[in-house]
Amino acid sequence: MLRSLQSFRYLKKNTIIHNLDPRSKMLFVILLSFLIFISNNIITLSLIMFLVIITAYAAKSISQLLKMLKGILPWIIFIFVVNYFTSEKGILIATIMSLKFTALATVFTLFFITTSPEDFMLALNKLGLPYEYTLAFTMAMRFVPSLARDLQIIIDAQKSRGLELEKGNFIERIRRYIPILVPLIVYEIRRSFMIAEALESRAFGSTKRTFYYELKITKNDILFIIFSCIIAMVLYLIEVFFKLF
Amino acid sequence: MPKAVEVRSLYFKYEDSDKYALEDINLEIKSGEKVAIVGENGAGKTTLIKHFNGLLKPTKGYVKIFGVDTKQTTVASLARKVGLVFQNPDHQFFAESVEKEIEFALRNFGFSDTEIKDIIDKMLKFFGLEKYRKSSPFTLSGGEKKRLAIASALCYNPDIVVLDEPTVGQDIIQKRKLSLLLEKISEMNKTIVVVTHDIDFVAENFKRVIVMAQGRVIADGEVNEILTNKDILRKARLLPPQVTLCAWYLSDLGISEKIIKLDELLEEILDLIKGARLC
Repeated sequence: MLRSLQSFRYLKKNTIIHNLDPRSKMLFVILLSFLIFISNNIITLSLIMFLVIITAYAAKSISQLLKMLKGILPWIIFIFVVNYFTSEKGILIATIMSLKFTALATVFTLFFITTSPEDFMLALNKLGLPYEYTLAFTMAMRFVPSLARDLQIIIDAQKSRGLELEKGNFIERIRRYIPILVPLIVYEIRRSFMIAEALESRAFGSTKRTFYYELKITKNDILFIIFSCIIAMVLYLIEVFFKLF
Repeated sequence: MPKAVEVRSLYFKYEDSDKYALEDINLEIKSGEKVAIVGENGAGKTTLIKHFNGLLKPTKGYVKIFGVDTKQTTVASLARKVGLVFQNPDHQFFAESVEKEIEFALRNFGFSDTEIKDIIDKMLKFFGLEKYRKSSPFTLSGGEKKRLAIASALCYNPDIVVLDEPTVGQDIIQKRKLSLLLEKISEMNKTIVVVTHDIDFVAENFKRVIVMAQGRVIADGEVNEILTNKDILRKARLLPPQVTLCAWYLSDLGISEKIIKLDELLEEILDLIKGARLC
């Protein structure tokens, strides 16, 4: 479970895509998701997938994307099967629906693995979201690894007291997770209070905040934005063109 | 005496790392022995003791508990013999009351109802937790939590008791109580392994100490020899016990440099004063 989360994690790399301003990447993601939502034919969706793969290649993140796809494969199959049996056109709709899901997942994953949580937060801030909210978001991301570590310690501690997670039938097994979940939840709630106190003792929220890093729109960003808009327009035209027939 | 723990050329590497966390560890702990493991943060102490009940399995080499290879058996069956108490009690409490917390391990190991009632009574009395029998473990103070954590491992009477950092966050009175407790457990002829940073605690309570640094055992032997050896202490980045430090300052006056206990130091100083008076 924890390993599949790894494929969504930001990895620091020095590529054009990684160095782009998060806002230009957001525009790219929004345009593509809009297209994915309205699109209803295989050709546009395939083109979008192709575009995303090229971007992923430029970001040197193909292997990470593949890992993510492997993680969501059961969902893709589930969507395919459900649509296959419930819709009239069967196989065509099923393919379109699973392609849509795959494309959306890939676009968003690509954004998150190429954008550091700090940059993302700054960008949201610039777009007008209050700092309290963006901080909550980045902290949530930041605490996933420490949550995983706490979970491991708790599992070890309870195993040392003779807890056997693998024993028994389904219901029994779920019951066996109580000694793991209770300490985890209590511990994390207590820690969240401690973090709140630590933040407040460092004058969180006292005055308007200034930032050490500022986001900058570079020449690459402008090129990327223009490129995204043109591509989106072309894809939209293709989509409309196919709707006519 | 039979060997309680036997570790031979143990190498261990965490899955996501390419560096060995433990390298070429060799040690034997006899049944009934009381041993301290010391070393700076990240020296591999906790990693080593997690091998004693099979939570971690060696990458190379072997660990045997009473002659049984940990690779050949389950954590649950090893835990029955090795009671491991983790550093932070908050990582294990989940039950609605103190007595249920102790009951947990007993149920896991299949004790009968009458036995359980008996043991809980005995444990609560022994650890001075009787008045908290029905209270939630989360409402206890730091020291009480620690004692409850130790009680919840001692209750099923394991042959080997392993404590990870039992003195952290304990005031001086709790530490003394812990010393007494260790003595009592030792009198029951149990094997005790304590991992700690607290050199003074080791000096006062242990005969044998194992020093670890960077995943290796760099010294293993008598406390008097090891905790007064400047070379070993420097390598392990440890400070000698306060008493030893004091003895070193006084060494010009003829006080032995191998002193680690307060009584020993006092005795030498008193002898010195008496000698001076006679002259």
